[in-house]
Amino acid sequence: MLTAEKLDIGYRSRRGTTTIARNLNLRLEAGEFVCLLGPNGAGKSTLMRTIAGIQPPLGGSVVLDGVDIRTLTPNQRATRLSVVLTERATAGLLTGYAMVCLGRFPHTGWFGNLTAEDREAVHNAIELAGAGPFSDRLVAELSDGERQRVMVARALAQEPRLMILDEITAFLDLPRRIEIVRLLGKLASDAKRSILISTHDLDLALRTADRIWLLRADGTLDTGAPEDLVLDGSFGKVFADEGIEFDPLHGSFSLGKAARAGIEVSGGDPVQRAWTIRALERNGFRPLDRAGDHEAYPSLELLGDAGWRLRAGSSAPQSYDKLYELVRALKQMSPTLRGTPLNP
Amino acid sequence: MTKSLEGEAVDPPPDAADASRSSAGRGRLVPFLFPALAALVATLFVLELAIGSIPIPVGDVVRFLLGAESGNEVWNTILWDLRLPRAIAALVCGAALGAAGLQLQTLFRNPLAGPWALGLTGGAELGAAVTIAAGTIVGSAFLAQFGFLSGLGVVASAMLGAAAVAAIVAAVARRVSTMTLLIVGLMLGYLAEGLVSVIMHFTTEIQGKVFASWSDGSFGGVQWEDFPVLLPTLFVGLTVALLMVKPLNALLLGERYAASLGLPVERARLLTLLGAVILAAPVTAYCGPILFIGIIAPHMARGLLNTSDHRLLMPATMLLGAAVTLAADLVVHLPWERHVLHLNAVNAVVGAPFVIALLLRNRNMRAMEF
Repeated sequence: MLTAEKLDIGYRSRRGTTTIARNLNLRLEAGEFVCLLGPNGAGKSTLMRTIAGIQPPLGGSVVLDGVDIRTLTPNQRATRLSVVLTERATAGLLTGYAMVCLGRFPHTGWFGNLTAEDREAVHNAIELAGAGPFSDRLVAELSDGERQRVMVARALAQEPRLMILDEITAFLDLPRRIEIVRLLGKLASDAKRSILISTHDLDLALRTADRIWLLRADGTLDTGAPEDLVLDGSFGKVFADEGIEFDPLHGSFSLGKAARAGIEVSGGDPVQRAWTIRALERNGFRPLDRAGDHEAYPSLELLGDAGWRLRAGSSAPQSYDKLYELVRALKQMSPTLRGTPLNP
Repeated sequence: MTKSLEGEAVDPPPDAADASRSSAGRGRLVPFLFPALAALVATLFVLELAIGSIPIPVGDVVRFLLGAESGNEVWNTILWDLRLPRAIAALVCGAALGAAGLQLQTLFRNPLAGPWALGLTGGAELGAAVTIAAGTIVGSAFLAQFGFLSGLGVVASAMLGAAAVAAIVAAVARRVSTMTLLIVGLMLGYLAEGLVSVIMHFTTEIQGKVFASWSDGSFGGVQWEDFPVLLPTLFVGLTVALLMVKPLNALLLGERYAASLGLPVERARLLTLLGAVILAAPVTAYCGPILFIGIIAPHMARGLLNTSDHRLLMPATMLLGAAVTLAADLVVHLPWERHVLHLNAVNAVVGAPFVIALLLRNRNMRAMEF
């Protein structure tokens, strides 16, 4: 549905041309929910704006349904794609409903009066976005999450083939982020709409996107199903550029602190084990399944509800009922523990 | 003439039921609000004709307006030659200033924007001052020829001055933020006013007086022969303002969003600015700088309607602008014993506290983010 070939993006100013990324080849199919990920300054917003036709490409073209978007009139473009921008729409004294009505702008006549058809589109958009309960309140008085829903409804009311949402999850708490991303995924697959969002929410993107566009700081772009990008090491490369280690097993980053010492971990149920390992790693300890030399490493026994029992060296075993205390104790004794290299 | 203009401003917004949903809470009152405002304007218009150093009974004024004689030769003359032109001028100029203010406030997303703040008034003053002073070079005979405030030369140059400032503002507009732009406009206004005092320094006493009486701002100087230029120009300006409600609504969201909705932003910005010049420049040219109306009328409309929807705001602002201006001018020409009150003084003394009260009382007004 949307294709871009040999797309160069960047800025032209009086001082010259700043190219941010070159030679991008992009595809976006109908009904697909795509997340654009990448570090700050990689040019995510520039890419979004170029695709939205807000800013001209430096080379190549963006083609939507067979038409170069730069050849469309502003009004034609607005009936094909809608955007939600990072900048906060200053709404004045507009209610949520009035805001969504503005989404009909490209469809209405001189005065912007709504026909029955327009009103139905507005109604549907508000329903789909779940903005009904607060649509009669002023946008300026809505919470961030409510406002984003109104903005999504407004973008929907435009009845576009492609919706582009920049940093839609920023400023939202986790439940609101999950809600809105889930909503967008559903909106894409239900109505064969294409939706492109940019986000910093790695975890959410990995779990929900049909496809991920991964923009690296050097301006190269990897695309594919989230899992493919993990398996082929694309994520590892992007995070390595930023000095962060990507953990392909968990699909998240690890902070890459230098490991202080190995600790043998045994027992416990999977949940307790997983979070114990996480606590150890967070503090730079390296959990070991079963060390060969029983004397060399402290050993930690997971006892379920009874907590943790730590045996270090020749001293008597100590019990802890909170990881917080366990980790503090480990840190205190860490100079006496034998270190192991991070990557043996 | 008055009827057609009033009718133009009173035009109920099409599709009022739908538009009213866009105002929180007060939607049900909207259908009554416009007739009420229109009635208020009509009442003030009649009072403006009736009250003065020679009071004329309201009934006779109404009869006169309906085409009959008022029953008194002197009254007829007073009404026809003095009060009617003045009242019509106050009516249309008030509507024009309000509409210009609303357009500029939305365009610049700043509640302080208005014809004065953007230097349009200053530009017009400079234009007028240059022309009046040019009489020195051309000769006082020439000056005498158009020595009236309504002299076409003064009017044309005042319009040119306002248009020049608007052109500079529009040219700068592409490169800077709206806040910077507003400051640029303010500075241009000060610059123009400074230049005016410099010019006045070199003029004769008569020229100084001509300029001073113009720059006081009054509808008293407007005469029938001014209307063939003033009324069509303002009519065009008011029509443009009413036709721009949809782009103005889109501009509420900011220029990027407006563009994403399909609005050709550059063109809309130029048209809006041009519309404001067409409205503010002739008013300033014929009546001198009239302050405050352009700022307060839109705020009053927002306070009353509790919405930013221009389909409602624009006609309401026109009506309120007309009402406030008529009321202020009414105060000016009450039969005061000795003093002549200045219109701008009344505007400021009544207008400023009113806006403050409105802002403090209405939490939604405070929540208004431009």
